[in-house]
Order: sequence, then structure tokens, then C-alpha cells
Amino acid sequence: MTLFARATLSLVLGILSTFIAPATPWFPTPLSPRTANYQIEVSLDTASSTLRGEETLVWKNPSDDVIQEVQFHLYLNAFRNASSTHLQESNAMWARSMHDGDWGFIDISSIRTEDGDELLPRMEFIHPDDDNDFDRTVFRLPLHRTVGPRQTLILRLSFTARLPRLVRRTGQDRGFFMVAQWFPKIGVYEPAGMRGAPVGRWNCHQFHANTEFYADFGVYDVTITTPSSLVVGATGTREEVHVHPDGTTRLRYHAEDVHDFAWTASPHFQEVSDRWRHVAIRALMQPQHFAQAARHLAAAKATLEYLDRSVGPFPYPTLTIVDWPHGVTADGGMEYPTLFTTVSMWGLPEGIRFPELATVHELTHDYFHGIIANNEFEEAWLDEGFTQYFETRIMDDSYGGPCSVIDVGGLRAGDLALTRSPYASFPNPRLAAPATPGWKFPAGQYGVFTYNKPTVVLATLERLVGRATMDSVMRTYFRRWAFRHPSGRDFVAVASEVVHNIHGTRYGRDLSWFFEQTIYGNGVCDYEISSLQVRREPAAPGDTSQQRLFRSTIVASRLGEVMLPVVLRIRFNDGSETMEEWDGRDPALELRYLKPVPAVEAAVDPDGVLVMDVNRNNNSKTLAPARTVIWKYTFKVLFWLQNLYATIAGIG
Amino acid sequence: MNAQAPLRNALRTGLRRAIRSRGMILLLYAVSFLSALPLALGFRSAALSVVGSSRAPEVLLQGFDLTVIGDFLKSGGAAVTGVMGTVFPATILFLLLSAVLSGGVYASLRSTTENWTAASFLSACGRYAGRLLRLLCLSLLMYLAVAALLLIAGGAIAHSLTKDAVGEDTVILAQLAVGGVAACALYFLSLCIDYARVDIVLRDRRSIVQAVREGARFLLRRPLSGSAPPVVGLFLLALAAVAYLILEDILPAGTPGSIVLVVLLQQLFMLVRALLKVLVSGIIVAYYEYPHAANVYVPAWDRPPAD
Repeated sequence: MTLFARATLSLVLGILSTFIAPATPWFPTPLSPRTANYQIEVSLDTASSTLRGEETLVWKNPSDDVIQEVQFHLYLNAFRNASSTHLQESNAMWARSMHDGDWGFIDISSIRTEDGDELLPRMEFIHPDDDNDFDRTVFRLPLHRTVGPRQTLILRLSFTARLPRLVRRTGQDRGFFMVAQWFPKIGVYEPAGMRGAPVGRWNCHQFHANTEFYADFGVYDVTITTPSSLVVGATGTREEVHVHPDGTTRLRYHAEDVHDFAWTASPHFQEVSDRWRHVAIRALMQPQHFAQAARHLAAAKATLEYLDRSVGPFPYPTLTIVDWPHGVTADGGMEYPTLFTTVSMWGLPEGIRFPELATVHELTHDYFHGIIANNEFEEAWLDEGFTQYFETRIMDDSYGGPCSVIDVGGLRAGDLALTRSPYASFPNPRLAAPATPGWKFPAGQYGVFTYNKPTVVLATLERLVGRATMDSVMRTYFRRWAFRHPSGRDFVAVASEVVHNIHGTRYGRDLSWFFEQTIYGNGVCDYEISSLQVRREPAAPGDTSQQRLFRSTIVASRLGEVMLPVVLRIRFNDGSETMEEWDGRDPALELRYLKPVPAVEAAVDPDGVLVMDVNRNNNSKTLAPARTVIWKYTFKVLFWLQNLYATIAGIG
Repeated sequence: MNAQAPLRNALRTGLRRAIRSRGMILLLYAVSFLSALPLALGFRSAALSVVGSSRAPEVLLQGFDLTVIGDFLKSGGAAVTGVMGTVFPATILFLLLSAVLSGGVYASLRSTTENWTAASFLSACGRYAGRLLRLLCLSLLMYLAVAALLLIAGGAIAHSLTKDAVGEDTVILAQLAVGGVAACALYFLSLCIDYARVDIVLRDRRSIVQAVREGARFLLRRPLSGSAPPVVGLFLLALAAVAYLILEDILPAGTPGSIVLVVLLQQLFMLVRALLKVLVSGIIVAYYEYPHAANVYVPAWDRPPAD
């Protein structure tokens, strides 16, 4: 049987099966507006890494506007050639290593209305973000008939896609297939008022090197036909499996209230099943990583438990964990609704928790972006920053703060410290604001300003207002914005409301002063004890008492632009302490004490509330510095040098 | 003659001569200590200038802290890295010094040497310095050439074994295997150089090329027993390292007293390294000196010659 005949047969059977056996609904009532609903039949030809698909899109106009055109993403065209915007913006080695046979693409051969009218000739590629005529990742389609307010549009698309070599989380490599962003995907129409839109508009960005995705929620019914030798994992629940005599298998998947559908296939997967409450968890492991399945499952269950408590319930009945094969883990993990990829490494000791970290991070994304579906193009910090923030909490609380990620051979590193470090040590932490749209970050700087800085900002806010208040903020945010598209300002409004309800005006009328500086501005936070001086006061004329007084003068400085309230602790020679509060508005604060005992130590932010302070080593001064630690490390250096010399001499 | 007899004799003799050379062991330890001390003190000065009177680094007494180390490196990393940047030239200098000292070491461990004295040691260092430094240059070139060949060949072999590998365990094991073979080859080369050094001192060889040839020939005739002495040394060093790590782990971190104990332990370990160096050198010298069967012609008759 020819490939074409096989594909057609599978297609017909797939269509028939959807009529014969409707999927089991997940939810009695929809959780989301279900704006973009897809029914897709696709077959995978493993020899050519080609997908052939038939897609039925049912799109509901979410606005009161009359829609005259629709816009679509064709993400796979980012890998069509080196002229795409994605490749042009990529400085990575992988971009230079793509050769003939590595490229991927997606082509649409037909776009029909429910009446059968062919709209393909109207299709026009656009590039809303730059002037790259060669970029084919977005197209507009003027409609034959307008779509009125709240009305429905049905389109049937036929497409062919080829998966690229697996370099950017989608593609194929040595028999492993990761099929993501693989179908024509309608953009998001934002009605006036949504995310600050002044008028209704299509929000459909090109696929950049530094951006991810944005789509509407809906129901997905996807039928996948692959060779029977492949083990398949996908978004959603598997409703049906049909094994054909021609050596192919057809699987039907169903997912509700999700905004994406990804799937994977490999002949090498080994499956491990587990459960957390109502969630059936399935881990698809590479054979050499099978021993690490337990680590991933434990991390996944710990994450679900933690987020259920701190944010909100995980609504979906299924979760699939996909283990990358070796050689393609350069991009780390990636998240899709109810499915995520994670990282393992053969022989990795228990004390190095990169597998757990990847699983915690990607599963948390199912909340921040999977359920609270921010626009990742324009405000990546809203999901990356939130996800990274909760990742640090989950890892440090679950595995021990100072050693949650690395705890081997005396080397320790906690997740929050590891997250803070790239930002604090960044050569120019003022380079950009986290709220910058993704494609506008200078090359190589996206990560620090969307992951690391927002994390320390949120950690600082947590320590300012208290964890209980922070969790209340997150739970309210989740309750209000789940299955919707919030903007950063929407989150700020929720945080301001909750903090005000709990603490009154202690933190101002709202929290805009905090977020304007830390998220929408590019200032840094750096407080310092600039000087600590003590002078013995001379006796006053005629004073015959033996008591002498000491004048202690402490100067604290704000070296950065960010003004945050801080606490100072002054310790005196008799062991007594004084705490002072400073609003941080002035560039410096001078404190003077006249006491029978001198001050011996001063510290600003002694409890480490300001996680985003880029230099904690200048936060204290003491008149009696202990040099023990310097000697300890001096002798360590001596010892290492002696061993280096002895080893080199032995070889030479 | 039993092939192992010379080796057993060499082990005993080497140990005896090492014990006899206690002064030399202390001298070698003192050289390594004094060579490393200036850099360590430079690091201390740089660290003090950065830390100032901050209390933040005190948390390092309890163990590694990424926040403190990271902030320290950012605010004062230039000073520290400036000091540590001198490690490479300092190591080169020590390599040259070590080459010169090896002449004194091997000369002191000869059978003809009765008691070790610093004067005789230094005299021997001077006598053989030129030849041993030339041998060092030649050996570095040989290492580079062999390493380059091994890298190219090993890389090609590893790539062909693993290019279609699905799992990294295959890749890692293949790389370890190829790396292991390459390490053995380089180790063999280093043994040849060791024996060449011994040959220069014991035979007063003028030609370093001849010395390398003799060293290689000696090793090729008895590859297993010839490579045994350094293996013994490595085994004993591994034991010492494990003991050090266990003891260091037991000691509580953070108090001045425990830091002093750790420093004493560290320096004891370096003394043990100096002892092992002298021991292995003594065994090699004794083994090289030994009248091996292959070197001695013994005529044989069916019956005694007629009177």
C-alpha cells in the first residue's frame, strides 16, 4: 500500500472514529471561553519526518467587533531556512550548524470554509515585528464573510509539515520525535480593554529567537497515526487506540481548556505510571535514564502538592513527562499543557538535582502559562519569572534551602542562590527591564531579565509582605485569571488589592511604586553600610565622673536606583542592639548615637529581605572583623597550589 | 632468576633508601610549601582588600555559600583573579625547579650514596641540571606530539563508535575507554621519561636522546614490572587522599581550632606526598641499578672444562 493510500485510509478511519465514539468530557462545565477549538487528523511518516494533517478549526469571536480577517501562526516555518527572523536573531551554534536535510517547514495546501469555498489564494504572509519579507511564521487571511460579535467561524485546513532536526525543542533526532507548534494555529484576537488594548486587535507575533507562544483556550481532538513501533505521548487523555494491519497505529487524544497540543513519539520510550490524587502521571523515559524516573515522579508530585496549596488546584486529569534523549538537552525542558519535557543524565548522583529542577520548573509552567495564559511574546516575565520563583520555593522547601540543587562533596548550592547569582553578577544589571517584549532584549540577555530578575523581585516582595500574604496574592491571581490572558498590570492590581486588604496602607496605597521600579524599570537595588566610626567623647569641663561616652556614627547608602524600605541593625559593645527603619528614598542615611558603649557593628537588611540586592557583601561593617575565614581560604589556596605543583612535577 | 625478584628487591631497597633520606623529604616538602606560599599570601591580600570589614564572609566558615562567593567575585574578582592569573607562570617555574631537583633526588638514592647531605644533594642538582632541563623540553614536545595524535585518533574512534548512539551511557563509556587507552599511552611515555632521567644520573649519560632510548628500552623489556613502582605510589597516594578526606570531614567546620587542625592535616598530607615521591624514586633507581638477568652473560657447558 502506498504511503498516500495509507495516509488516506488512516484519515478516513480517523474521521469515522470521531463520529462513532465521542471523547469522554473532562469537565461538566467549561473552565475557559473555548475560543479556539481544533479537530486534527495527522499522520507521521518517519522516513521523511513529515506530517500530513487535516485541521478543522472552530473559532469563536470573543469580542463585540466585526472580524474581517484572521491571523495564524506557522511556527515551523522558523526553521525553513536561514532567512527566517528566528534564525537571523539566533547567534547560537545550532543555527550555524543547520544543513540541507535539517530544515523544517509547514505548508498549507487548502483553507476551506464550511461551505467549501477555497480561501487559500487570499493567504498573505506578514511580519508585524520587523521588515523581514522572508519570514513565513505569520499569515493573515481576509475572510470571504465577516464574523459578527460572538459568532463562530469554521475553517478546514490541509497542511504538510516537515520536522526539522531537533535543535529548538521541536523536531526529530535519531528516531525520537518531539512534535510541537506543528499545526496552523490561530492568533489571539484581543478585544478592546484586554491587556490594555485601546481597540480590538490581532496579537500574532512572528516567531523570534527569544520568544515563546500565545494562544486561546479550546478543546482539542487530535488523531495521530504513526508506525506501531513508536510509543506515543501527547497532551490530553488517550481515548482510543487502533492497531492497523499495515503496521501503523492510530491514537485519538482529547484535551479540554488547553491552548496548545504537543506530542512525542519514540521507539525507545520506557513507560512508568504513577498517580497524584485525580491526576494520572505517565513518565516516558529513555532506557538509559530509567533509574531516574522515580526522581522525576517524586518531584512532579511534590510540585503538584505545593502548588495546590499555594496557588490553586491542578484541574487536568492527566500529566505526561517526556525524557529527552541525549544530545538534545541544550535547551533544557519545555512545557505544553499536560505534557512537558525534562532533563536526565545517565549516572547523575542524587546530590545533583538537575532532573528534579527541570521537572519542577516545567510542571510549574502548566500553571503559569498553561492555565494563566500570559502573552509570552510581550511579557515573558509573567510566566518565566513566576515559574522560576515557585521553582526556587519548591526546590528549597523540598530539598533543603542551601543545598537544594547541588549537595555533593562539600559543594552546596540552593535554587534561590543559583537563580540570584546570574542576575547579581551580571556585568550590566541595568541593561533592560523585565517587562521588555521578548524580541527586543539584546542578544543573550533574555534569560537574566525574564527568569532571574523577576524571581528575585518576587522573592523580595514575599519577604517584604510575608509568605502568607504572598500566597494569598497568588491564590487570588490564579482564581481571577485562570484560563484568561492577564497582563503584568493585571497582576499588579491583584497584588495591590490583596496586600491592601491584609496590611492596609503599610505598603502604600498600592504596589505600583514597587513594580514600576523593579519590573517596568531597569534600576538595581544595592544598599551599603558606607562607614562605621566611633569616637570617644572628651570629658566636659568640670565633669568629674569617670564615665566616658562614645559617639558612634553610621552612614548607610543606597547605591542603586531602587528605593525599598529597609531595616538597619546596630550592635553595641555590651551586646545590645538597636533596630532602625529607613524608607530608602534618600541616597544616604546617617545615624548617630551617644552612649557609654561604642557601636561595634552595623548591618543594613540583616535578615536578607532584599533578595534582589546585587551585592550583599557591602551590607555590613564591623570594627572587629574576624579574619579567620580569610586564613581558612588562604590555607585552602596554599594546599591546592601545593597539590597542583606536586602533580605537575610528577607528570613532568 | 625470578622476574619478580628484582622488583621485590627494588621495593625493599627503595624503602630503605627513602627512610635514609629523611632530610631530603623535608627539603622537598619545604620547597613545595615555599613555592606556593607567595601566591597564597597574595590571595589573602586581595581577599582582605575586597572583604574589608564586612561580616558577610563569616558564613563561609560553615561551608561553601554561593551568594557570598558570587558577590565577592563580582565586587572584587579582578583583584583575586589577578593574583590567581599568576598560577600558570608559577607552575611553569616550579616544573623547571622540580626538573633540577630531580637530579639531586636520584643521585641521593643511588647505591653508592651513604648518607644524605644537603651539600651533596645540591651539588648533584647542579651537575645534572642542564641535561635534565633539556630532557624536560624534549619530554614536553613528546607529550604534545603524542597527545595530539591520541586526540585525533581517539576522537575519530570515539566518534565512529558513538555517532548513532541513542543513549549517553554508550557515549560516556566509549569516551572513557578511548580516554583510558590514551591515558595509558601517555603514562607509558611518562615512565620512559622517568627512566631516562634515572639513566642520565646513574650512567652519567650526556646525550638526552640516548637516555630516552635507554629508558624506553628498559621499560619495553619489562613493561609490567617497570611500571609497577609508580602504580604502587599512586595506590598509596590514593589511600592517603581518602584518609585525608575522611579526617577532614570529621573535623567540625568553623572554629579557629578546627581550622588549625585542618591546616595541619593538609600539610601532613603534603609531607606524605613528598615521602611517596622519594619512595617511588628510590624504587625506580634501585630497580634500574639491579643487575637484571638479561644484562648478564653467563656461559654454560654440558660438563665442566677439562683441567
